[in-house]
Amino acid sequence: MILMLILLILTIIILTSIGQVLLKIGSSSANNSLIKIFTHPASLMGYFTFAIVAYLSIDAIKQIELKVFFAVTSLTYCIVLFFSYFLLHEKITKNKVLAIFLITLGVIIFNF
Amino acid sequence: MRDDFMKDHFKKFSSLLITPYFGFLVFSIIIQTVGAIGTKYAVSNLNDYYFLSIPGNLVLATFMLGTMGLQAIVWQKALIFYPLSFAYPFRSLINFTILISAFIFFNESITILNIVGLAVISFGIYILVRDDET
Repeated sequence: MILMLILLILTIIILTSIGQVLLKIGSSSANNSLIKIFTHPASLMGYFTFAIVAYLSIDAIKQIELKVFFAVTSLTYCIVLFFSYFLLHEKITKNKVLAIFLITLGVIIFNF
Repeated sequence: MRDDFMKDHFKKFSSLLITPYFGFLVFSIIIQTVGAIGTKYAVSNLNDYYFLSIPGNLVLATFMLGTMGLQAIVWQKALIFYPLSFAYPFRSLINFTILISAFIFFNESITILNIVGLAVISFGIYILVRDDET
């Protein structure tokens, strides 16, 4: 049961990160026309991903405390960094590694 | 020398706070908190709630999507003015507002470790985003 809950929250975190990377791909796709950005396949997939996240979040919020849900989903920042490194080829600096360490540490302290 | 530095820092900080756009930042946080509290209230009080019946639950769905949509628009407005290095750490205040309102409405506990943990998370977000801008 607890394992399922952890899997659910992990899915939410990973899907949120994928959604954000998709939106980034969509919004950086050349010309700045708003309509083209919003209707770019990557953007649409991003919104679809967020819809799934909203759906799953309801189930997660039902099962765990609200404060825990919000604190743990801060891990999204860390996963986004990995995805943006592998998919968008953004740089990872020392400070970013430190930041990820701090965020993870914060989540651990929060739940201790 | 150090005094000047502090003064400049304070000036920069206060120039970010005293602007009409600050309302958008605060409003964005309030909307998200209200949305989360409302959703939690809905899922813990609806007796005929089933995971798969969410699309049928129009009130809940409209409320959630409404707050999400409004939040996105207000957030975009705020980002026009604010650098990410200020906006994102500020947004991590949501964690604190949720912590407090969950304590008030749902009797969730607040421990010192909760507060320390959130502070560390916020600091991490600050470092992460600040590094992005330079």
